[in-house]
Amino acid sequence: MPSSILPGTLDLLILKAVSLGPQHGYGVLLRIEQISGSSLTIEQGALYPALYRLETQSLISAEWGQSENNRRAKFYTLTAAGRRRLKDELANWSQLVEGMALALGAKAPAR
Amino acid sequence: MKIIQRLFRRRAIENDMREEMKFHLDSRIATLVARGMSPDEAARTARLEFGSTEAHREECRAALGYRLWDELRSDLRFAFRSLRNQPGYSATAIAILTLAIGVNSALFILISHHVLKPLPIRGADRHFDLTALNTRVQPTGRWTAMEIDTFQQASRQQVEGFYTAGTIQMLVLEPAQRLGLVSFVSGNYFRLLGGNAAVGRTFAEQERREAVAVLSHSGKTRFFADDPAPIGKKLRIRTTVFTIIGVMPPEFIGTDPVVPDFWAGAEFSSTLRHLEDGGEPRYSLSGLLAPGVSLRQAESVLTAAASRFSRTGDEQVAQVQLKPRSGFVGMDENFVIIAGVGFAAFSMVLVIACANLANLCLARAASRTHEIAMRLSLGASRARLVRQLLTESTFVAGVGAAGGVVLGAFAAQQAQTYLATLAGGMGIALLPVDADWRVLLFAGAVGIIAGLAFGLLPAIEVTAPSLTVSTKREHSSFAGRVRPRRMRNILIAGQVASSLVLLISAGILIRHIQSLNVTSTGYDLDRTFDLRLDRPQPALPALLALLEQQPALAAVTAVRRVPLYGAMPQYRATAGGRSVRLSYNYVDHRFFETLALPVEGRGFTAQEAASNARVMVISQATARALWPSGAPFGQSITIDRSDDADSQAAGTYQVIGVVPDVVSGWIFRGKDTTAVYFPAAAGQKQIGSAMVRINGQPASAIATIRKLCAGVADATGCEPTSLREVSGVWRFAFEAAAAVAGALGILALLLTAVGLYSVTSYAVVHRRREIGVHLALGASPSQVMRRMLAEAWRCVIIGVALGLPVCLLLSRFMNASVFGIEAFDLRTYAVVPVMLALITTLACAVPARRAARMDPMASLREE
Repeated sequence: MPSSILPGTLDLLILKAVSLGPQHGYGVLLRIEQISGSSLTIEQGALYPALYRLETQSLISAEWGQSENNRRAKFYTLTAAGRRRLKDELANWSQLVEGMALALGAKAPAR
Repeated sequence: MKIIQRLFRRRAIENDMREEMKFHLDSRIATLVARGMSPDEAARTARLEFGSTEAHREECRAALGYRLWDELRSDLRFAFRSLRNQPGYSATAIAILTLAIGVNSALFILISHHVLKPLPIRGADRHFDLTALNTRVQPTGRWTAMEIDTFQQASRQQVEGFYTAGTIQMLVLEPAQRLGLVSFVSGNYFRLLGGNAAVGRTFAEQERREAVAVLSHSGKTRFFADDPAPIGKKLRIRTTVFTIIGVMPPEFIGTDPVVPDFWAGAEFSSTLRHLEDGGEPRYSLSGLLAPGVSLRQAESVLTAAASRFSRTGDEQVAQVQLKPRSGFVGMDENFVIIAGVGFAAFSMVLVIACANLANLCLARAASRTHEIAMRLSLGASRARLVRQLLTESTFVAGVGAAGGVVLGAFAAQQAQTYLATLAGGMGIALLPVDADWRVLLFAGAVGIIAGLAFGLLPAIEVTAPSLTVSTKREHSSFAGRVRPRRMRNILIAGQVASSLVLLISAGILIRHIQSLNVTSTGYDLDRTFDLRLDRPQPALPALLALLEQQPALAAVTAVRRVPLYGAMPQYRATAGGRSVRLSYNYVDHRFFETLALPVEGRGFTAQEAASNARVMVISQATARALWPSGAPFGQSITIDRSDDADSQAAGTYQVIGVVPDVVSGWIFRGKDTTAVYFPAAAGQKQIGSAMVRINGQPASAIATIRKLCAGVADATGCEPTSLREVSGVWRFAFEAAAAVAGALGILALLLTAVGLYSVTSYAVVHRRREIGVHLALGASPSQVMRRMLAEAWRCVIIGVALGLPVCLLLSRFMNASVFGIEAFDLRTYAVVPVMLALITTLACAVPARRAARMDPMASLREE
């Protein structure tokens, strides 16, 4: 059963997906599913407000182009600022995961 | 920036959004079909997975920053609707703001025109005036041609060019005899400032000493109205004939706030003006900095150059100062003070208006507490509600500001026209003013600030109530909330105080003008004329001899100073063993006859006048001050040898006559406290003015005088002016100040009345139940009315108590300043507060009467 994502991590997932190459919205969704081994689901519509937000912050840029089935589609590319942000967020994330793992793996001290 | 771009591409972006989501759904359906679903089922699943399209689109809009905009639009629509539903309120608010912003815009237009608008020259932002300070930090300006040359040589890198320009009024004799404004400029003036002639040419560097002139557009209209290109025509001032070589286009008006009729070489200014000291001519200096050079750099270079000048004493230059001046008037201290006082008065009106409207808003909002409480409890955020209320008030202010600009432009035009007509009598052409983008910006900013100012307080106040109480219609119960009412009272008291200050100032000024009108000067203002001779020295004796034979003239006299042109100079003197300062004048033997002053004792004889005999005539006030016990005749007064007495004047004089007191100095200063007259005669040094007293009709006599003036040798011109006109020029300043203060005061009073009216009527509506109970319990209508009025009166009394000290302080200032205004005018101080009380009472009486006439049963049944 795929689990829904943690709040606040959608942006990070999008940045990561786009960093692997320009993608349209649906492609981003597919890629997230693919790279997470289909273990994460997102509400598909919620993808777009997140994409627009990231675009407004100039972390990704958008351009209209041709999709694989020859339809007009909007393709998103990571900008330099987006790349920097992704790096920072990844560092934050691993720190968080390490911390959480440590905290949750702690055993009760022996009396 | 991006957001603004997006606002204009809204439709395209919406379409993109729709297309993008459609693409997503279609791709999803295709994927699902490929996985083996039926098309219908695939479409259903895809839509389910996607969620609400509209909700996601709305979030996208929020991400793009559209939401704020959409909310603003709906707020505006809401504001417009609610204002349309209350035409009384909107009309009042808009009218008040139009008036208040209008007066401020008018002042701003005038200031902008003179100061902010750049000079119509090349490089106005690099333009400067050069001044200098001596070692005692006193200004010592004006430079000889050689010094200017030194400045130029020293600062080739820092200063693009220096020029001199001085505009004065002179009597032009040809082609028509009338006063003209002549600007004497250096030869490089037009080239440096980028002025090109519309017809003909401007000065060439080498024709410094040629008598050539360049006409301004207005000068051409005045002197050569029907000649399209008066090149080669002549202009004559005294005996100098200038040949016109060019006419400037209307855009080029020079560097002074008045437009000269023509420009001539600076070398002619000293010969034409007959400078008496005969020293080397000196010029004031302005110029353009070289691009990219700072004022400081140029100053230090010029200061170094000035230290090499061969000047001595107080003339030695310690520091050269460059004052940037990009408009007609530099931003010096005097200007800042005048503009500051003006803006203080005008913004006071705006503050009153805002206070007033805040009042109205508060009262209005109080009747909306129910609506607002309901919306709050339904989940509207407080910030959102405040924003909506502010949109409403700013919308009103915006409409008011638009009206204000129109009104302000009109008022400024009127003021300028008035000034121009007044100045036109003296031959000065002022520039017409017009509203430009600066004014629109100013009015817009003022409008927004005003809207926020009067909307914010009520908006915060009204959105803060406790929910439960307000939803239960608290406002119809007995205990009204205390806070808004107290705030309202403070606001009204403030308004009363402000209008009191303005009206009393206006009253004092008006009384002052009245007192000027009836001031007895001691002589006949309408029949005594200053000849305003153009070039008196050599021609004066001959001219006086001619004038004396005219039957239309009762008397003629030559004097050093004509009365009413400013404070008389003073000598230090010793009389009766006491040291005193005495105001003096030098007059010939016909002076007292010309002013029709009876002389006790005797006046001067012609011989005494011609020989500067050591005798003097003194005024009655002087006689009383020096010899209180009487008998001044035969006494002597010694003029001390001091800085301000020329050496010839020092000595002992015998008093031979006493004349009544007259006004010799400023008319608003009243009669002289001291005045002594020394004998002198036409033809002597410094005796440069002539006065006449006219029998019968002045008009024909003036024509005769003009003809005689032009006829005497060496072509002297004159401009006979009655002393009434001379005094009128100075009265104008007071009239203008009184008109402005009066208009503002009346406006403020009207605002107060409107404010009190609306607040009281709201209070009546608000406390209908309370009043109903009172009436039902047996209160008489007059008791109810008194109760309503008592509250208003309390505000008025507090306001008067606050305003009076300010008035007294202001009066002291007016009295202390040069105007010599009699500040404590009992009548004004009594009339204004009474008038204020009457009008405010009237404003409350109307709604209070409505309350008193209420049917108690109806108001109680309402709930």
